[in-house]
Amino acid sequence: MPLVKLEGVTKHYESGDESVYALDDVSLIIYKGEFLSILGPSGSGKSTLMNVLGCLDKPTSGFYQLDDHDVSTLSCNQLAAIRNNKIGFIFQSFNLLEYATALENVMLPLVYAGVNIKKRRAKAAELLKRVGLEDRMSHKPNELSGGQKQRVAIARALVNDPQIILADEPTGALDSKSGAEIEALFSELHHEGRTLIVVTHDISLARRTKRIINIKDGKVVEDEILDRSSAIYRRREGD
Amino acid sequence: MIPMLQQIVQMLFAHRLRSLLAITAVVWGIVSVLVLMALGEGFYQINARQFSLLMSDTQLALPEVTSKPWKGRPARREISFTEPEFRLLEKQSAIKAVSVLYQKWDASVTDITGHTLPGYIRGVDNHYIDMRKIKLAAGSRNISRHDINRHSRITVIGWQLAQQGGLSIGDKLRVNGIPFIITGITRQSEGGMSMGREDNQVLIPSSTFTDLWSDKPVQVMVTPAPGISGVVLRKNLLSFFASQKHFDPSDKRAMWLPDFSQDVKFFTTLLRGIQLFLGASGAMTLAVGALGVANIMFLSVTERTREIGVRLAIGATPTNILVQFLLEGGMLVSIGTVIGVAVSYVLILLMNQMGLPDWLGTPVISVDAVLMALSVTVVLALLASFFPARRAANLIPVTALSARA
Ligand SMILES: Nc1ncnc2c1ncn2[C@@H]1O[C@H](COP(=O)(O)OP(=O)(O)OP(=O)(O)O)[C@@H](O)[C@H]1O
Ligand SMILES: [Mg+2]
Repeated sequence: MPLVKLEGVTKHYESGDESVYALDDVSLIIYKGEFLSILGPSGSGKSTLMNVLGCLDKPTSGFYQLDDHDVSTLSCNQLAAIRNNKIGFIFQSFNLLEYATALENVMLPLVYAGVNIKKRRAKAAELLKRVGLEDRMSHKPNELSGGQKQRVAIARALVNDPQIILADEPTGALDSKSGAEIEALFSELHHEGRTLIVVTHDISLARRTKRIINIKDGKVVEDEILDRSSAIYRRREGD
Repeated sequence: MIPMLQQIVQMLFAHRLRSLLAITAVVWGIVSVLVLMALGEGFYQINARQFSLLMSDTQLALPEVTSKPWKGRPARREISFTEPEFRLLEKQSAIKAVSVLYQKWDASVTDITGHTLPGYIRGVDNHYIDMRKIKLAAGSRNISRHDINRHSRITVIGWQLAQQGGLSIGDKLRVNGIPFIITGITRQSEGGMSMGREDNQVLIPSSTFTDLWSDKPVQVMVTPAPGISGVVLRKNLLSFFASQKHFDPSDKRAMWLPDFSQDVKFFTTLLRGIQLFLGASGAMTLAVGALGVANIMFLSVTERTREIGVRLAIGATPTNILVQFLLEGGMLVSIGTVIGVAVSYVLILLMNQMGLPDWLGTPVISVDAVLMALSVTVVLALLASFFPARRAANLIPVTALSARA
């Protein structure tokens, strides 16, 4: 059973007398464990697609099913719960809380999940260690480098064990060395069996993924599977 | 809840200047309300105390001159009250207590060594002190019925006289050479105000007074029985004395029965009005303070739209966001309130220590004023935080996230 199923998803913006289809009849199936990149020119609708997938935005029309839930029928609070425990979102600009420490930032999703303080601390510390920041836990974002900030953001995205990790240009604001570290981290996460969807302009990151989707003018124009050796794609072939 | 509070404290601290401004606005409002109300209360109390007789239900009766002939007796007869009438009057069902008042301005009052003291004599009954609401210092004994019956040579004196003569309870003083034992001293009125000549009086039992002098009573004071109105009481007194002294009960000139009820009503309304006015001015200031908080909260929501987006993106519900901002506003207002109340108490203390003009009385912060200020603040705080908080909670994650950081 697919983890993500989009059918005829459209996102339509009306600004003045101009009408923009940021997503135009997008249908897509993503299975658990996939490592997928979304490519496309600027303004093609990549972020819009990610926001719909991440339940940060509602499509104008179409059907979106995420892990059994028909997302379009969910209430605000149910959507919040989905964002909290099924989705880990990683942004280009990190989006950390400036006044909170790395540890507190990573703990935040657990606060909204109602996890007690002891477990929160332990889990957040474990994930910061996982991304190699065990000695930066009490640093505030302005005391961290871009790469470190993005690793904090990744730890925060992972802290609730999400079923799907969405990253919108995660290396876009980083130098190539930090970018490479983040890429390596993503590959590791993929090998751990996590589902990752990455929007990127970065060819080296796209090459690491197992499937590339190309978008143009809100439409999926290409959907290419790179590594047919993996079990997921073999099963997919059989569909 | 605890991590929530912790986060909020962190938040408020991260935006120190803004928080400080909001808190200052609230402190300013609370201090305005409480200090103005305290001044009003002090003013009310000092005036109410000065007019305590006016404001009690005690009725005065002063003998005057008849203006009409009655049953063969001519007009223009001078009326005077006598002791047996008071005893009769006391038995009337409409009357709870009676006290006569004799007064002697020119008696010689000296201490035991013969030094002249500036006192003057009043002959009174045992109810007098209660009726006049005179407070006695610790260790004092009131003039009793027993003292009246025994024509005791005891006295209760005004605190000012006691101070000037260096007299205390148990000492003696002489009235026209006759020694009296001091059994009581009146309590000094708060604020150190001297209220007329009362503070120099030498109160002695009425029976002892009549032994010494043959003066006529200046007035009688009467307290009505429970449920008897001033109107009924005055009617009763007039018909009682008319039959005793044989004058026309419709003769309004024979006796003066002052009716202060209208004046009292006017006066209390005026005083309460002044207090209300002061309180309202303070409340307005408080409302401006609340507007300040609302403004700062709106600013906070606008400035932190992106943060709200992040919180929503990682799983905060709109309710979480609403509660967070309500708590933030509530916290600012609570801190401001606590500081405001404390500052008000300190200010009032300082004012009282520095000494204010007598007519202002002694400002006091009443519990009522604090409760009123608190309830107004709670309502304003909720209003001030609710609308910004609701705006924050209704944000769509993607819109909030695209706001400028
Ligand atoms: N809030 C909005 N109102 C109107 N139009 C919008 C809005 N958000 C996005 N769009 C339009 O939708 C289209 C797709 O935008 P989107 O951000 O998804 O592009 P993108 O592929 O992520 O581009 P980039 O690579 O530059 O990030 C664009 O033409 C954009 O102008
Ligand atoms: Mg984009």
